[in-house]
Amino acid sequence: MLFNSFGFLLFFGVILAAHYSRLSWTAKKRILLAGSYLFYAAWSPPFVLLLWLSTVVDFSVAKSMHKEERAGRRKLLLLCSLAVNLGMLGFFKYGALLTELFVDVVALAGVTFEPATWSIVLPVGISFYTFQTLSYTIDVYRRQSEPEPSFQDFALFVTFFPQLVAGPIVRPQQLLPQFKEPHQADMAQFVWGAMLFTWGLFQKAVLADAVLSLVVADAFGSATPVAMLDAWAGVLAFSGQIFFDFSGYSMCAIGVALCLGFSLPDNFRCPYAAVGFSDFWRRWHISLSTWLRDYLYIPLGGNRGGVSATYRNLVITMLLGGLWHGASWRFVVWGGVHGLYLVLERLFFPNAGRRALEAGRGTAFLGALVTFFFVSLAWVFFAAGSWAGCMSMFGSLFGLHAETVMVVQTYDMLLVGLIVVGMLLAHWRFRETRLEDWATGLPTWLVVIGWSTMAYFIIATGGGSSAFIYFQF
Amino acid sequence: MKLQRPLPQRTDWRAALGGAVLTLTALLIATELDARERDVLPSAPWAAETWTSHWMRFEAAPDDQTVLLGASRMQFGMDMDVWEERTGRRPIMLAWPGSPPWHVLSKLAARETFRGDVYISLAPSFAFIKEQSGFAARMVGVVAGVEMKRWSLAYRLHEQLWLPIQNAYPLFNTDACSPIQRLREALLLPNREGSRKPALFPHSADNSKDNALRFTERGLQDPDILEWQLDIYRTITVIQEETGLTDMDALVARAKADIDALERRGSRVVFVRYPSSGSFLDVETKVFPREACFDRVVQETAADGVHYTDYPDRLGLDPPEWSHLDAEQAVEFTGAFLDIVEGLGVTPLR
Repeated sequence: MLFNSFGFLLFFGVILAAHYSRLSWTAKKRILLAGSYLFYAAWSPPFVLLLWLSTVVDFSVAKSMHKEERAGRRKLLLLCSLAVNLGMLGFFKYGALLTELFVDVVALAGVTFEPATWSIVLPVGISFYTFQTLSYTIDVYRRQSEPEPSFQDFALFVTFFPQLVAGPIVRPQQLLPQFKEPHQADMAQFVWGAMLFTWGLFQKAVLADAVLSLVVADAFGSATPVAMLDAWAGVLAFSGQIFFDFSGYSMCAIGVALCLGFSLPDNFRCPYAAVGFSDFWRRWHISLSTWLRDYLYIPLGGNRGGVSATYRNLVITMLLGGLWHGASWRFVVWGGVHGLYLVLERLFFPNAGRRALEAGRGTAFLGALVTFFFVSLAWVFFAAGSWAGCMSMFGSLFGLHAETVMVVQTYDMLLVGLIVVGMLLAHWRFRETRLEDWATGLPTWLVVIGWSTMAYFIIATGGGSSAFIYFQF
Repeated sequence: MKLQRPLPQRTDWRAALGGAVLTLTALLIATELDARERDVLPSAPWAAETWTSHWMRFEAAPDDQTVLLGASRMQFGMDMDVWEERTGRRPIMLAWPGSPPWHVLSKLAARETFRGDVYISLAPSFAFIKEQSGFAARMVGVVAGVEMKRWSLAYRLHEQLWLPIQNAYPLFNTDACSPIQRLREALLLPNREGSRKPALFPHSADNSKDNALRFTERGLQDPDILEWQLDIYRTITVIQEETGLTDMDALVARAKADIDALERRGSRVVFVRYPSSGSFLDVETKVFPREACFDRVVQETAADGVHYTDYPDRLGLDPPEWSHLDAEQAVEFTGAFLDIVEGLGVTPLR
């Protein structure tokens, strides 16, 4: 079920009515759990089975692992959880890519292998909930947390509908304790949650879908290489689109949870105000980057094994982080490019962000623009539908094509300019300031106008009919 | 590590909520009134869910239901009221803008209970373009999405609750009421010399409850809007020319297999070619010529075919914007077309 659908409004209305009724806390949690399954099943009922499998396996494995003292048996139990979760992910998400790789490898040996057509549908949000449950099992294995005694609470942790399909990826310690005692939003939480939900939908339905996606489609969808100006408009539009789409979803998730009285962590913190790539990854998709840090980069050795081992670990982490986004080598290359950025930054500009900020706000802002430039270039691997499309776009960006076409309309070009400049300035303005602190000082009339205008634009532009980009991950 | 999100330190939450609800309501009412004032009609969006709702309507209809396939020329050019008046039954329109008809035809052929008649508009540059073109790919997605939506509660809520609302209030006609689109149409900023226009249409037509398209008054009379539309057609036809003709052997084999399956169950299939002009006619003549495309499909599938050039006095109408008939022309075309197919012994007029 999409947040930007009429069905969700109805569904959420029913959930709210039950949540604010006189029922017991246990009954309310059961309703939340049933509602979460319904939310997921509303898209495709059979895939709820995968959620159940993941829930049952990880609950049982963690419990047994906690009781077990023998190191070998504990490791075996962990492997069982990894095999089930990563096996599901591998089958549904990477099956086609692995088959394609196998065909290419055996072709090198002169064998022609013709596989059956791969027609498996990717269950929505599988990458998010598998990582969420894996963090639980790994934490219990490391004895960093106790297993959850209540199956119902654990199942709700895995399936909690606001963040089930596109994050934020929540850690057990962040959410499970909130299920232990009754949670209801007070008036401030409820209204602020509704405002965040509206702001998230506005980002998604209006900025990402109604404006920026059109330019992205024009620039990246052209069969003929596009002119340099159009290419830059397309790349900048995609930088905005992917941010507003994903940050918008996270904001909706946070807002919906807050309306119910639950707190979810921030997933974005003005990433385009980042000065340097380390700073960028502290601000972009925070729940994934911290997951990769804690469960991949540090176990690989982190920065403890010397300079070259650190660089190797960084690149491996980013390559796998890229692969997490989708079954395509272009995502892997995108991760690799970011890995390279991080290595080069450590090599040539260590502590660049801190030094730039010390040198003054002007220098830091320039640093943020340079970072945004390179981050935007890397988005080409994300936005183009093929390798040929990537190459064509890079050629256009740097004026390497002899013949090009102009595809972006003047009006769209202006809107993209307005939105991207506005986004960069807003990110810079809120780099060190929380939205909540800023909203504290706003006059009531401005809040009313801002909120109702955003809601009006969402309705009048159709609410955005396309799915969130990050659903595919 | 229990989380507790910070909140703005305010005390006016009730006032903010109440004020925003009232302001939003006022804005929506004002937009509805303005839309009515401008004679905007309710119109379902051009989204996959809309087509699926018409497919579901088809599935719920009798097995001998007549269906209409093709691209937007069928949606503009066949008048549903005239058809119902003449035949006693209202057909179901399964045509979809900018799409080839073959994927829907295959889906009909695969539906073993279906035995109704099928009328297929062949707009050459969509019907005979290479399969990998965006025009075909989009329709593949729309048709494939039906099976997923069949079991989707989210889709059912959309179909049962939201579509009727969209079909009742012009406020939800986003082409006509989106502030972003309205500003675009009001400014009409000139584009760079030689630039291609993206396929984003001005608000020039509305989609009826039964999936028929009709021009708005402004769409026909405002020269700027008309020129915008023609610009888009110039771009589309350049892309179509670059993409080129599909593998006709494969296309004909597929169509024949589907039509054979339908005719074995008692269905009759009739192809129709609507009039066109301007860039569309140019590319149709050059890249998708009649003999290699329309005639070949009709002959090799042994279906019936009605080409407008064979009936210049009755079907040779001049579309106002190169590709689609207006409402009056649709009435005239539908009447003449039904007379012709009756002559071919196809449609049982009642």
